[in-house]
Amino acid sequence: MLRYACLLAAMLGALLPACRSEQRTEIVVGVSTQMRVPRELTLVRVVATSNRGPLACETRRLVGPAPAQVAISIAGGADQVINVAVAGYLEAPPADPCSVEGAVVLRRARTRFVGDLRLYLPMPLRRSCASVACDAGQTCLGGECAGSDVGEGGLVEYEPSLVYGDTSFCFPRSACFEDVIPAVLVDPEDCTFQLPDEVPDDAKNSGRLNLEVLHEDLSREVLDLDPVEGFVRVRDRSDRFRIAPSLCKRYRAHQIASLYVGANCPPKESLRPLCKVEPVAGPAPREDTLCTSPLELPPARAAVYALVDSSRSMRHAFGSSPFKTAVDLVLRAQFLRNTVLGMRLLPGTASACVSEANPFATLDGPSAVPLGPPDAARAAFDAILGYASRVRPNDPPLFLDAALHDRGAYQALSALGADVARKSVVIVGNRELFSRCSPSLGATSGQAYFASQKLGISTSVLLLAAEPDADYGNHDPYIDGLAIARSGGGRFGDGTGDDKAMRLALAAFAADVGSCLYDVPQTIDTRGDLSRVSVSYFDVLRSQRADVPYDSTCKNGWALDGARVRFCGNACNDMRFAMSTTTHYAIERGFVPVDFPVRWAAPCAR
Amino acid sequence: MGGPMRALTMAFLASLLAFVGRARAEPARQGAYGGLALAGSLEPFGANNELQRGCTDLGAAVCSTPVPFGGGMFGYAGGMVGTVGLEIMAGGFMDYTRPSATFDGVPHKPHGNPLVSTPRREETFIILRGGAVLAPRARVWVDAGRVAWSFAGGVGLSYRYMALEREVTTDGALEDRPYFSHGTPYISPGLSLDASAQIRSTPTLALSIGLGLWAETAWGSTRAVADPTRTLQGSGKVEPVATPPYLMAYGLQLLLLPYLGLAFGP
Repeated sequence: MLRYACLLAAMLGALLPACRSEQRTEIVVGVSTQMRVPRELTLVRVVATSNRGPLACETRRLVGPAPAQVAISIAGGADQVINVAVAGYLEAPPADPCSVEGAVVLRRARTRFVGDLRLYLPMPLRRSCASVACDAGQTCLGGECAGSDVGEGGLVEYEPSLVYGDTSFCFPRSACFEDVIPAVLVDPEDCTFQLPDEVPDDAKNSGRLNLEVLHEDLSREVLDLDPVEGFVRVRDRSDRFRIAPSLCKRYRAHQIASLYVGANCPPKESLRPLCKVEPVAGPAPREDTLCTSPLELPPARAAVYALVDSSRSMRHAFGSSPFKTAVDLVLRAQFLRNTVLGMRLLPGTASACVSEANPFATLDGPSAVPLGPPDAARAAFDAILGYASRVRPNDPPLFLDAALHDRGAYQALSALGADVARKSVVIVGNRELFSRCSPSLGATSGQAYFASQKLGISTSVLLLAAEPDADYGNHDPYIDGLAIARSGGGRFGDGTGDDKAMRLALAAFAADVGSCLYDVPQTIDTRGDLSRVSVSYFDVLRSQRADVPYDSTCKNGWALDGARVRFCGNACNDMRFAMSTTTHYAIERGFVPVDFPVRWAAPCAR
Repeated sequence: MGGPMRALTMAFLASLLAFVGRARAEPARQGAYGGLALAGSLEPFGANNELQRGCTDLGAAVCSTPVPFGGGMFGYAGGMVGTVGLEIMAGGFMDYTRPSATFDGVPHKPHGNPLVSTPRREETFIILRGGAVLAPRARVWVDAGRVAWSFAGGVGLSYRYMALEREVTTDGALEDRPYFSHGTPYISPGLSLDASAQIRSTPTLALSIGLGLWAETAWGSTRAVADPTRTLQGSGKVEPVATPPYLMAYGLQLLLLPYLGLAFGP
């Protein structure tokens, strides 16, 4: 009937305004979360009150996969104050429908209705606020308690596209993070980061930047362009950004493992919902069903003894050389933090060709760096590699066989004991990788084989380019180096091509030492059925989490190696490839390599 | 818009009554009559499309909303007794308009959604409307020598089909392929009013010059289809662009139809 009346009015052209619908005075509470549904949250409860009493108490079941999005309209009067509490629950909430006790995550807001407007109040439930309790009148923002007032001036008129991720306005996570690049920390004090130079200039200049944090449990969360809960661009620096102070504290406390940059899209505004992800057919991904421990599985202790040729033919590797710079960057990698490193310069002398302990068994003196943690080693390495004056004026015999004697370098590593899981000798040179001692102490490849088989010490060779006039002693160092590495169970790195090849080889060495073998914190129970346990890490190359399955035979997966976790077969190869590639990427550009935090992911106990 | 429309309607009705009074003095004629005309189409107050109704609701800073114009053909046939006739009028018309909206990156109304205002861009639209009208009408004639004044009016139906195309241009390298929405039809009751001068060249043939008015309603749901996946793309970048269900026309549609044609009959 109304339609006919309106038609008549329209045809008379006089009463059209009277047919407009009446505007409603409402607040639409938009609840969203990137936490996992249903593993971490199953229900959300919205409680709205005014000074006149409750306005709404609604409980909704969340539908996964993340992001979960819910909108609840609350009617009120113009200028009426409204207090909203949004609580996320994993289990059943309190029986009282207006109670938000016991919530996994809680967010509050206090604002005001505006007459004849439906305003949108975004209420994201963030992982950083899980288990953070704040006083009444406060809310959790970025993991810290803060005032809950939201000025109504900042609220916008409600549209469904603000809540639901099925419109053109949703943030297409997969497209915007198609290729993720680790952010480079510039200032740890205020968590200023730099965009890698891989990000094109036009993306920097046009502000195309998004950030994804990798939380301590390997869950990911896209940050908003928001100074309180997300990040901001640094003024006058198109290549820098800074995360919110509350997130910076979490970063410094290692509760945020990494930050990744996506440079395809403009920054995600807090009003923009994430696009809905359609559930995929088949079983849910492991990360959706397993509970990932925030405890890190640290890399197992390792020791590296570097034998570095300081002959004249190696002079390009000393001083302000690309080699020295690359070594310095590699030693900053977090995955090497449990590795001790030492160094001794070659050549040796004929006097070292003895059957008892020779000078290589200790790391004393001006030509050596004692085994120590990476930070100490970096400084000590720099004090040697950084000076061209440490290079010999000629190419004397190296007496590598003296160094590789079981009473030489191998003895220094053997003395470290069994708690050091990985021991490696790395030879860095470009000539004379053969035996010189007389009487012979054995072929260098044979010595390496002995160390590998009997002492559990691997021997690797990094072959660098040589000067054209280098004295090779009628031996091909490539063949000798390859023989040593193969016999010694180590890696042969061919850095003879150019500096890029050198850095690639160095990155591969680092990945060998820092990957695939991890200690297990005592609080993690490794007894019982491990078949459903994954050991997980974030694979930057594929922009996704890698969940390595258990394989008791240690052919392709993870297995317990004593008290440690060992990746085997392709699981290890994949990780090393990712680690070496990203490390090479970083040191090629002068950045610190990205970390590969590893976590224990077991069936949830509930 | 109600005011001008009401004034126009009243003036037309007053004129019609005055001429009907004069027509009573004319000698009686009888028989069949008809006419055929080519008409222009002009909607002086606009179609009430989305840009006209809520430019800032779209997030735009300013909108340009030229009046829809077009043309068509119509004919009528009926029988007359004296100076009064009853006829059926049928016609087909098409019109179009090219509104545009300029987005400067910020909302221009309180509590406006900033997301729809970005990126800075220019949106240009083509809104097409085509359809047919059918109306029984009453007609009167007032003879004045070689020229006969004729007035007609009636109530009928119209069927319209509307479609929209949008193009987006930005300062940057972002582009959007033209957006063609599915068309939307509407059926409306219509009011037809007509005034013409018929210049006789023979006793049964006249050149007809006139102005028609057609009023109808586009209701409230003549919308384009929203495209929830619409994005701007370029150089490997993606940005969303609001593509709501645009109102192509809304409510009262008042079309002026100046025409030139032939009139047949005694």
